[in-house]
Amino acid sequence: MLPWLAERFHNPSSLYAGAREARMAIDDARDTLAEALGCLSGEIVFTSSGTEAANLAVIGTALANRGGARNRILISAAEHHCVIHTRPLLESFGYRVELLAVERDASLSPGAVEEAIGDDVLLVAAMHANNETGAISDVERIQAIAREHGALYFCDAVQTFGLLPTPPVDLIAISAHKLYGPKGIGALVVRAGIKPQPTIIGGGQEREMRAGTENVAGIVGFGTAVRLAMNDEHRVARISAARDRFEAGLSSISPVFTQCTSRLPGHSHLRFSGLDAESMLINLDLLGVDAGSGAACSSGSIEPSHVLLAAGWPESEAKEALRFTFGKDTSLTEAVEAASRVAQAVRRYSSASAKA
Amino acid sequence: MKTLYFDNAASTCVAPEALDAMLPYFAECYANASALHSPAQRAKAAVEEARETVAELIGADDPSEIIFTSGATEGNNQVLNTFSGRMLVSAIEHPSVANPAEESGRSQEIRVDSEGSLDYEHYSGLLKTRPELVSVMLVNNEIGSVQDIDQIGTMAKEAGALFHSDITQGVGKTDLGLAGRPIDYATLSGHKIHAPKGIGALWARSGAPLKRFMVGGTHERMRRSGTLNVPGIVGLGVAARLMIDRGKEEAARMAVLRDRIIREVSSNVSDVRVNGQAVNAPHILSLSFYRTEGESVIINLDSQGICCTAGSACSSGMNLKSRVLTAIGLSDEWLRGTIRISLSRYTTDTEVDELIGALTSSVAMVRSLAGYATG
Ligand SMILES: Cc1ncc(COP(=O)(O)O)c(C=O)c1O
Ligand SMILES: Cc1ncc(COP(=O)(O)O)c(C=O)c1O
Repeated sequence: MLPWLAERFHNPSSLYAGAREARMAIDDARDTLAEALGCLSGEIVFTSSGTEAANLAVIGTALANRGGARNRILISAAEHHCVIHTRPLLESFGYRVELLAVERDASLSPGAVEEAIGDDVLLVAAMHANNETGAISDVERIQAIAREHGALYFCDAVQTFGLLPTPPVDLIAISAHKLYGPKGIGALVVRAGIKPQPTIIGGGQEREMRAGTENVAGIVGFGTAVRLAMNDEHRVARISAARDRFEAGLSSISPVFTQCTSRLPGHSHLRFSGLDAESMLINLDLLGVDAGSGAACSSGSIEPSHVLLAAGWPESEAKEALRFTFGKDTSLTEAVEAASRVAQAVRRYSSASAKA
Repeated sequence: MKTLYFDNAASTCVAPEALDAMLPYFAECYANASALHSPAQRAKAAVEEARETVAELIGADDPSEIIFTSGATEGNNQVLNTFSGRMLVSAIEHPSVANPAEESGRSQEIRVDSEGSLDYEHYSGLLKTRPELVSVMLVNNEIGSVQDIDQIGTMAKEAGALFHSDITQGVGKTDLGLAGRPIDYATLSGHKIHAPKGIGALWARSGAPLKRFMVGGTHERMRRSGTLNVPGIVGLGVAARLMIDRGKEEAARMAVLRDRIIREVSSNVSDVRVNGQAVNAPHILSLSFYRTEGESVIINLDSQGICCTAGSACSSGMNLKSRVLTAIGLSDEWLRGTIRISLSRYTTDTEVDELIGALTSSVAMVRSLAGYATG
């Protein structure tokens, strides 16, 4: 990225040599993403984040088909806020939005889609893996069901891209900072023939799908991060080994693990009965362990996670949920150390609450 | 071959100070600024410091009125999308204002005169249609004409409208002190003031309505969702600080360079005119060479390592006739020979000398190939 921030800063829409190089750098990154995603380069629209990509997919599709015969939109109840929060807007456009109930691990069963779908459904939105529990849904099956009924399918693959193969679905959102690229850059895959109405216009960039001077450095960083992920065949095995070692290290303090049918390699979602997540996180932070409870973007608000409530958890349990996520560089030693600090935090917290 | 960069209205290089400040937020301090743990709190503190600096740069009362965006295009779209009633926009707005206005089907264009200043008679007539929003840019990106935002804003207020100004090309060059002016929204972009691409800011005076544009999280006080681009924001903050410290002084220096280009090119080359106002923005110079193929001049300059632009960057290569140049009434013979030269704090005297020489000979060459006869 550095040269594209420093001496190669030209606006890719200009005509001179330096600008053409910036344009080529964008195209190279686009080709890399296309290769990783198994789509055409021209199907990729760079955005400023995963949030924007998801907004463009859902709001843009709704806008483009406003007033048509298909007036229902199905959204999995465990979607990230960037999908869930489009609901009032979609309703204001005249759509009926239905939230589909999810399983206890927050995955969406294809059966739930089957039950709700009909020929009046415009769009189904269901994420590949849930960002809190890490549970993976059978999105290929969901795509097939949607297609049978002529509905479009949008898949938020922000958590899986770079770890799992991305299934070839109609619309896919991804975000660079979840796979070691920079913050502030994301992309939407829009399959040929599908045309969401752009939400940011005026400049013509990204084939008129997303205006604004391209974030060249961010795009180059994204492309490189994707290339590294593709070349790192053992990444998933390494990450899950660390996660498994961590989980094994917790056995003495009886965590309640969230049982997922299929889950992300780096996610460990669990709770300690009677121990509130907020206090646990503060204790963990003091011990130098950075973890999360709900999604980061709703931390700071102490409401229980909408994901877990949608998954049918009682509020008391939802408030205890902790999320530990492991990365490509987490060593086994760190994983073991993290487990022992978690145990320490649990003991501290339990004895503090016993005294109180 | 060293490139000589005279296209700072299209994009600027990131200031080394800004780049240095950004690096740690790519590397060891990469946490998500919304999380609770200590690294996240450090990122959050850096974001808030940048917010204060941007507020100081534009003279906003309260840093919480600043929203970080991905650029001015996004900010402009958000402001215009907030309104469901009638709007007035000037005829020389950037496409990121002009297009959403046009798409809305509820907007009218305010004419400008031949210097690119707002036509006040036309404006005051249009105000009788009771618009909800008036949007007029501070400095035009193609010709550098500067608008009197006090006058425009006052008239908008009197007519009961809110006023937005795209200050992307003007910010940093003068004291803005927006809090004390009749203005409600301003938008800017990092990469025009030596911060990176992909970051910008939107100022909305407290109390001014603002529709949520990107949804999906409680970021930016519910006004703009998405994980914060921490390095970009930090870069924008440092770039803003440099502008606060040196912007006005640099603007004065650029004005001298610009005037020298005008003087020398006009004495070397016949049939040339300067577009814009007598007192224009210091860093943007639009020159038209009569009956001369501007694109050919640009290509010839490029082959000598000199970057400048025929229209604005986003319409380059699209071969569209510039809306701005059409709006100021340039005839085709002048319009096609228009070249924009834009300066920055890093432009040196020697570079300007080289530009003057190369421009003089390129115009002469293109004209002679086309069999141009003066007089
Ligand atoms: C599943 C999911 N979707 C979307 C997003 C939003 O992406 P971004 O942070 O790029 O806005 C996130 C993460 O924040 C996520 O985990
Ligand atoms: C006046 C003006 N407004 C808006 C923009 C768009 O800003 P951005 O490049 O951040 O999308 C530009 C430049 O591209 C501009 O010159």
